[in-house]
Amino acid sequence: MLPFELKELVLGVISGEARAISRALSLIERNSDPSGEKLLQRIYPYGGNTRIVGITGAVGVGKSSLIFQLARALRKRGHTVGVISIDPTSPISHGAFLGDRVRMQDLTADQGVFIRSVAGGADSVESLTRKIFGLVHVMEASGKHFVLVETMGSGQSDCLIAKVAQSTLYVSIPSLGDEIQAMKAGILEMSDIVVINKADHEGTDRAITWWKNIFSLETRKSGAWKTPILAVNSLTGEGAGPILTAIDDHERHMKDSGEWERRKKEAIRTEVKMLILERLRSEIETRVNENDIGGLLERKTDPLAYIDKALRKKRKTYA
Amino acid sequence: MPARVLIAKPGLDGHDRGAKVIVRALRDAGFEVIYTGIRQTPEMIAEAAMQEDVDCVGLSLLSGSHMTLFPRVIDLMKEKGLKDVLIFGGGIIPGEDVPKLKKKGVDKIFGPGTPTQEIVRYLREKLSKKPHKN
Repeated sequence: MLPFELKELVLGVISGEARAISRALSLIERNSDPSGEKLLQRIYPYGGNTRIVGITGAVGVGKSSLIFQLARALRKRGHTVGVISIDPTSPISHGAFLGDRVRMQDLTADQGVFIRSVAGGADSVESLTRKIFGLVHVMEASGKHFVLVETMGSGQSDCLIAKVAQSTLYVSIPSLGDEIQAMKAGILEMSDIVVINKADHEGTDRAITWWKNIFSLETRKSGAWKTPILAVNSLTGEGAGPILTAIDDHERHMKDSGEWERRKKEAIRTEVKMLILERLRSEIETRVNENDIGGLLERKTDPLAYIDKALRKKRKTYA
Repeated sequence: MPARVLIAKPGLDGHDRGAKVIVRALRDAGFEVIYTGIRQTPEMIAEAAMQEDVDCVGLSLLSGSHMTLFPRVIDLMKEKGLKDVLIFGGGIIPGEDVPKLKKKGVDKIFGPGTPTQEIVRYLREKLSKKPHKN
């Protein structure tokens, strides 16, 4: 990309032009393109004022449909919305089926909403997280008031979303799990709002009751945020309003308690670590010397002694 | 990064078995495939193609309104500055309409019974000429 093209792209992004946002997101996604890094550096100063909300939960609980309703409700309040929806990449073909837009069809005609489907990628979770931070920065620079980040159907230990977002919504449904599940460590501890979707299904009241019971057992410092448990029907939108209120309440609570700044700093810390990891990962290949592998094969040295040597070599290069 | 393909169903017919077969075949061939769902307006498809920055749009239509809707999608995409996106179509398209659609900018039409591998081969060949893609 030529310097003037990059300049034009940056201008397009910060003035909120959809085509520019779209091209910028692609540039960030294609890690191989050095223009992506330059773009990121140019737009970074324009971010920092967007409310970033993570939506996570198991596959099939209705995260995309919930985002549709939340985005609609946010639009009614006059907010602009960016959506980043992640679906998994095939470990076999490296292709992906990105199907989240199907649940958000009526948002496509709205110029105040920008939806981007993202493939999780075949690389590490660190690499995906680095990518998500970059995509969020583009949305931020474009002036979106809210960015909703939808995770892939998550497992119990997928907690990184809570480092990217300022508030994390954990979505479940009435028939999924019981009190024992709700007691488990992991993403549930990291969630700020629990949403029971498909509230038209049987057992919603019971589910709400035991989720509340379990969360009331939490040992919290006085004045700490109390995780709301909210029911929603993402087909009709019933219950979406109270979720937005809870998101606002959470922001106010974080700002009063100092948690807001702590989380924003933690997000930056996480992003920086991911970037370092990526750089180091590409360095690793150059640190392994084929001749030394021969030495290891003959058991002349051992892997630990070898990496000590290899890492020392690296430090010298940097000095 | 794999090439990105949008599979879209303009118009009012609700039969998307064919579209789903294509989505699945392309996914398994290593493409990133985005599906819009059924009953899309040309405006929705063009907007989705723009937001998703796709390399290619595949239109599936069985209702007979292809002569109106396909060119409309293409015009709207051009309006949005999507000039180098490959467009192909499929569904129930009478042979006599194919040359007319090609003139309007649809690169190729695949009829019923087309082996999925033929479409995969076609896309690989067409999209390999683009920079940054597989």
